[in-house]
Amino acid sequence: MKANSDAVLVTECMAGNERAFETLVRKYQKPIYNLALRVVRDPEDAEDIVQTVFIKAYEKLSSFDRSRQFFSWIYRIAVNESINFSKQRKRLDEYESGVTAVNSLTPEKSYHDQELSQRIGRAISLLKMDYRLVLVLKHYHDMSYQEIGDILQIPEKTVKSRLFTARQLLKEILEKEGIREC
Amino acid sequence: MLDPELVELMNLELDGLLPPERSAELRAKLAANSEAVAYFEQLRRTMEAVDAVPQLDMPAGSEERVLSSIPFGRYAARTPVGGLAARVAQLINARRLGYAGIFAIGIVFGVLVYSSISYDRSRGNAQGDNSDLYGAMSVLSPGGSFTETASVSVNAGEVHGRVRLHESDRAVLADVSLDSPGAIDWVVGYRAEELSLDGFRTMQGRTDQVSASAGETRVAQTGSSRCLLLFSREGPAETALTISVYSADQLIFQNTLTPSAAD
Repeated sequence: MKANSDAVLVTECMAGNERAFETLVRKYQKPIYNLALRVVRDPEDAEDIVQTVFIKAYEKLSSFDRSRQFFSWIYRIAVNESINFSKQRKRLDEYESGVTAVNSLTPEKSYHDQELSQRIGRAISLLKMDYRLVLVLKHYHDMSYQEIGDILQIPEKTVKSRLFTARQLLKEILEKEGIREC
Repeated sequence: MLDPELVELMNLELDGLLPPERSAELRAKLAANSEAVAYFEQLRRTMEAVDAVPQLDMPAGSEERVLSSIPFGRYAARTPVGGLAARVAQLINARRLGYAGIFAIGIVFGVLVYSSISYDRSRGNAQGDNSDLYGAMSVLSPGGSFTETASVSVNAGEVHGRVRLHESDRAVLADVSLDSPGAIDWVVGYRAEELSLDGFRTMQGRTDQVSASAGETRVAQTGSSRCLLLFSREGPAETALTISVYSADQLIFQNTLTPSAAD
């Protein structure tokens, strides 16, 4: 349903109606921001990624296959941008600091919702990118295995395998950090 | 070490994807395996914790920054005046100008848009009465749930193009895109007891809606154009629109689009 209304917006935009693209920006900026934020863990970086995603989407709109889902297409751009951004910023460094940060947390603070959210966010950032992406798309974007497969261009079977492994790894990280009470 | 198949069953169950018989199978296996029960509970808590993390709002001003960074003007504008305005907007990076600059551009752009609308009205285009077609679409289909239900290719002599139907519960949108080296007329016919024309907009090229009556609207065009026609449904009925193309008053193409007629 949402895909078809998106197709109409794309058609309008291609015909010169800029308001149609603005509607797409308003519709997708928040989920894309949150996707980028879960991947790169930095609000300013995530905001830059959102900006780049929409610029690229606008410039490449003529290459969008309107028989496919627009949200899969723009999420794919967002995933690629997030991955590229992470590589550019040498996120291996953040990986190391993330481990330190999680280890330094005190159990007493784990009951606080905001703190808990931050700890879970950090725990997710410890996952390898492949695992992180499927987990984020499934849990924060409510996507089906098939939709995730379309975005990441991997078979549904691989989506399931990565997702189940990601949950297992996340469970182990959270247990290790004393977040069993959640 | 738990059986990987059992772990998969747990994950599918927590995702709500197990059919009842397999769900019963999982419960039977859990009843006989305390280690699996503990794992299942930990997995469930982990997923609940992950799901409890809220979506975050974007920082204030982000939307404006994103919109101002997009190089609008790349695609065809609705009118020559609109195209000029779009190119001006493309050349100016509003982010650097600050709010005073944005305000000044808004004034200039507003004048240009007003001129554009007046220009269309002076040509007899019905856009003047339905300038916010997209808004009308939103009103007629609040969820934006338009579905493409039919389409047909037009290939008649030197006239080529495509007509698409998009439908929602309350509205029908006809997207007529035709390329022609010379002047042609085209007519969209429909059952007036089922549909009423609510909006007409020229999205690209030059057209004139030369007549509109209950059940029929006639459009004259020269060159390439794309038009959208928005109809509201008068009641539940199967939609059927007939597109007829005339060159020098001779019928050169005719087809009736129904929801099952996609090609």
